[in-house]
Amino acid sequence: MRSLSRIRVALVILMVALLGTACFSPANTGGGGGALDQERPLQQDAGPPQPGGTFRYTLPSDAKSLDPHTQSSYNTHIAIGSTYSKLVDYKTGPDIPYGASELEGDLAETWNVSPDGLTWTFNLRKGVKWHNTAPVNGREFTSADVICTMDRIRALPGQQVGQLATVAGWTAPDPYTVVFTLKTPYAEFDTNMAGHFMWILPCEGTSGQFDLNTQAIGTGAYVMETWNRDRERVLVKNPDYFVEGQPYIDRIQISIVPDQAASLAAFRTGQTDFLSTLSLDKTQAEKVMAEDPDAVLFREAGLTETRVFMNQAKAPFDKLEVRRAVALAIDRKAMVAAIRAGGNETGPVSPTLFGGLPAEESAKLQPYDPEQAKQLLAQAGLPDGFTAKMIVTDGYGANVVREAQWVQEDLAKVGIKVELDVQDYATYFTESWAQKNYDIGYGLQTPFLAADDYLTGEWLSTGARNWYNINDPQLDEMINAQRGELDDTKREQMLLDTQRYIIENVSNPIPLYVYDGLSIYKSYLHDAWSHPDYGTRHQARMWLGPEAPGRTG
Amino acid sequence: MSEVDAGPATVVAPPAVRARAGRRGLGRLLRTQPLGAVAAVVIVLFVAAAALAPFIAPFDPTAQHRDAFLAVPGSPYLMGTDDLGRDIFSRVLYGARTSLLVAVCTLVAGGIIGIVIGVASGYFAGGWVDTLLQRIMDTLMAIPGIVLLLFIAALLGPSIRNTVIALSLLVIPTFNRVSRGEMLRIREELYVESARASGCSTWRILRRHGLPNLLAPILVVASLTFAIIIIAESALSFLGIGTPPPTPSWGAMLSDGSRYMEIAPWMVVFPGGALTLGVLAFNLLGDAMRDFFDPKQSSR
Amino acid sequence: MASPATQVDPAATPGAPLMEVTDLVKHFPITKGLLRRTVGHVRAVDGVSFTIGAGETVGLVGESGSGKSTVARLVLRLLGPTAGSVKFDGREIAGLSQRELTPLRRNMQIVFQDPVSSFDPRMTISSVITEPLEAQGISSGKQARDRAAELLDLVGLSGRDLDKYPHQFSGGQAQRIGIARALATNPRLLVCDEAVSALDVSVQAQVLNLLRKLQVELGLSYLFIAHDLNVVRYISDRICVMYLGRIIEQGPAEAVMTDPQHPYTRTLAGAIAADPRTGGGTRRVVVRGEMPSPSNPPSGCPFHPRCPQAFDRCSTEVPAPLPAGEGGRTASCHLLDITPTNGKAVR
Repeated sequence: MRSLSRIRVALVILMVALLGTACFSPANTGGGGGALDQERPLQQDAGPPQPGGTFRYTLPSDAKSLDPHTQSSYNTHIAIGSTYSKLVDYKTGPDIPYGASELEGDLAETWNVSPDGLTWTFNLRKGVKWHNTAPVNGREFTSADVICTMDRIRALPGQQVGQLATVAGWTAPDPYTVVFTLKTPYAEFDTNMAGHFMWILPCEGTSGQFDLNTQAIGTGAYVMETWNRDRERVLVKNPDYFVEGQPYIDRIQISIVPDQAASLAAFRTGQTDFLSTLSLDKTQAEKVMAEDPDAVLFREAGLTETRVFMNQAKAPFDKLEVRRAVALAIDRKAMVAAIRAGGNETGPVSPTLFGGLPAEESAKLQPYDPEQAKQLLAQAGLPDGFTAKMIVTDGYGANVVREAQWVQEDLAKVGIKVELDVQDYATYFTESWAQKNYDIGYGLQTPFLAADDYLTGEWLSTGARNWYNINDPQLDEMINAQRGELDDTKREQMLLDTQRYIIENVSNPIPLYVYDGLSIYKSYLHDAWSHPDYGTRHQARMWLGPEAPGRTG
Repeated sequence: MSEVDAGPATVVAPPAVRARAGRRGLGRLLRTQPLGAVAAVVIVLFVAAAALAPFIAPFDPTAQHRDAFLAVPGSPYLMGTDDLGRDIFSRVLYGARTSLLVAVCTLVAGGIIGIVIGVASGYFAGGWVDTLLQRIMDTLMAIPGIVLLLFIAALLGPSIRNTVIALSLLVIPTFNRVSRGEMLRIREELYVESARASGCSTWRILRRHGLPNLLAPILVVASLTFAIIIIAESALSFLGIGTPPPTPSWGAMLSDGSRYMEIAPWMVVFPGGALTLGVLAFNLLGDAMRDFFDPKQSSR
Repeated sequence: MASPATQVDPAATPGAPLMEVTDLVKHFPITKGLLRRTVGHVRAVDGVSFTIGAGETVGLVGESGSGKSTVARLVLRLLGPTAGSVKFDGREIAGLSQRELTPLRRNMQIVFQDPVSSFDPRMTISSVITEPLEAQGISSGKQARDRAAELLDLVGLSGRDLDKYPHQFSGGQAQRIGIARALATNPRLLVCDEAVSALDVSVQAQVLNLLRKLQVELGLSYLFIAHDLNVVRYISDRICVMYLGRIIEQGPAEAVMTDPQHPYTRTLAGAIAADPRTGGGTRRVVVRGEMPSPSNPPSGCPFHPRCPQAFDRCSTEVPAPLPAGEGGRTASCHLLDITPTNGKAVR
């Protein structure tokens, strides 16, 4: 008898599932793709900003600590992104392309560099107040705080130490001036200071008078009122923010909701005003846009490069023809359209950065040409292709594993039979990739914000992230040359030439594309001009239209 | 001699008690256990699908048809395609291969080890061999199955070989328990003592008297365990620590498809349906065999 | 009643007897707890001595729990003794390993009380009978099968039964098969452990007669174990009476039965005497209570708590086997040792 009822249950389930499929019509599929193409631009002429209201959104995970110097995690930096400020920061606005590296002063009003490129002077704003929270208690911000911050960075074994590696020392000749002295000329030093680790902390923080892990007392547009770790964060407007009139929104409420479906449901039911890229991938975005007339899609050109990388110490990847064959075998345009929500082909430096190779040129220099790939393999003495093992990790999510399978298929078509070795993140990153224990791999590259970070880190023969056994003296010369060139025009040319050289003569790691991130706003949210840099400074400019639910509740 | 009465040379056996072995046994199985018969048919189809997949499958299961992502079931993709344009019907067929391969390897490896340990422990019950082996088994069993599986699979990394290893460890205690229990019973049987009196070696006794009598309960356990293994392999693949991509596995297909359930439910329905059917069939077969071998039932 | 087979007086036979058991002891430890601490012993066999000569039948009789089945297994070395000596053909086998014993096993075989259970239900009769042949390496294949057919013939069954299964036979037939199997290796000693106890009375007679016939034809010795005195008396040359792990009386069968010297034997024989089939007019002696547990035997004479004739010495001193008549009879009872100075008789 028990067997009979089990069968009944199973049959019912099967029936329901099959009916579900049958009820499904072609109109429900494929229509999604169209929804993403019709981007509704953010309202630009909704009038002057109206203060007030609460902005609500969800995130899938929380920061472990609020200390921006010891934590390189994305979560930490967006947690304190509206609370602390930097000396200089990225400019964003309706006329500025997403991800552009134009800078504006944040805590510094103006800055300049000496003709020899070794001395950088930052003139600080006057009358900037720290948040009125003990033990800082709203006192004025001075150059002493900058010195405290820089001293701490140097003392800590963190990521930022590398970024201050070129700096010989810093001084504060008066309360509103800070001077940095460099060891060698470095044209992008100011961009360095806009980088996402360069938050300026109060001396009370760096000396331990409050715990930087659990509290954030800064000079930013929002004061962190509440932090219930893994549950919610509540930010309230800083009444003494140094930018006149800002911020407009009174409160920001962030709920931590790990389940993607729950986040989407909250947005659909009007409980939140925004879905971040972390909560959305292509299919979800299509669904939301198709269903919600109030939703505005914001496509953020990504900076994360996808790469196929090879270990040049392992045959046959020591041969340029083979590496070039791999590059030509991959149909990256179709790939980004199929698996991601869109994107752009990229060269070694992503196209939106200063000096980055434009997408069209990268496409020309590294076309999709399987026939040519086969010829190159034959030239290398491998007319029948070869086999290899490709490492990939599932730690970046399912999309990366799918991309790896796409690459696998493309390579198979030219005779390169690759077997996937799916590893956990720690093994992939620390043991296989960094220790050069692999033949070929597929993965993402941490977005850098300066061209030089890519080149010096990965392609210099002594680069800290050269995990590819690249050793090209001519390339080394080119990279070192552009580092010290202070003339922007000349430098840009040198960067482009270096990248062309890499694509044609090194072809490793092979950049495929940068993929767009999608975020979705409700139409009553205005002037939200974000930047891919880790931070949320743009929130100071946002404002809610009168119809926003956050105004009534 | 007049005092010795030989009696009739043959006696007709009472109808309720017939030889269970052989073809007559199979016929009786099918007659008295119709559900089991249906289940057996499903299993035969399952095995046929797995074995003949290279001939039946219309497409290469890993081939990406890039003009037809998420295609609706129809022609030429009988069960539609997935997000990379791979034919789901072919992948379901090859997925049967994966499930079958893993299940058979696990049963053989885990089963043999479990049976050997159980038989040795049972026959030498109470001795140091038994105590030592059973303590090891107890330790293994104390770890919750899921935890053990996840730990081993995550430790070793995703591959079919490692999945088999992890699942074998899971399965060994079951076979051990059954074999040991049976051996404890068998060694008390008079015919075992008689065999010893005849001068049979321990090895001979185990081989001729132990194992054949073990066959019935082992078959039942094997069938039920088969079902568990198929599910476990799917679970591991679903979590990404079982069969590595792009090898088709029903579990991995469920995982991939779960993100598209609203848009392309066929990615989930067909592998899920195959999984349900397969597991149900093995469960039913195990039940049928258990009822069949149960002496109280068979004397109906 | 037919007369028993030719008596052989063991004491008069030159050379070693076929089987000689001396002071055989078997204690089973009782364990308790996880660490298996021994908390006591079951004293199943507590000092047993007897001999079996060639062509002789020795009956071993006693209640259940007296230790007779244990003796059977000790004799065949299916168990190892705790102490004592077992000699087969003059050769000590008490301390031999199982491997050393294997070739010796062909000389001594056993017939069980429940023959059907002693056959593997999955094996055909042919396999059942040929198993000892194959295990001993005597013969195999067709040769063994032919021998099996021969044996079946010998016990009164037919070669056509070779391919049948155990459950297809009646109790009596199964026991014949059991005997056939026991004879396969041409043993010289057959231990019959309650071999006819589970059979109907008429079938019992048939099997007993078969056993006697085979003994004469093949020159077998039997250790015949039973609790039914009638049966034992019918087939045995000599009888040993066991109580609580000890032999309390032994001697020529007829003598022990008609003139028991031990009070326990008297109660057994008295039970027979009251049976109208056997005739005789001895007074019935009623015995009190049940046999105590062998894990906690009484002090002194094991029978003293139930003995109607027990006196003070019985509870303190274990009686040794004392001469009790002709033909090498002994009985372990203090009553045989009464002198005016050591106690008064109770009759």
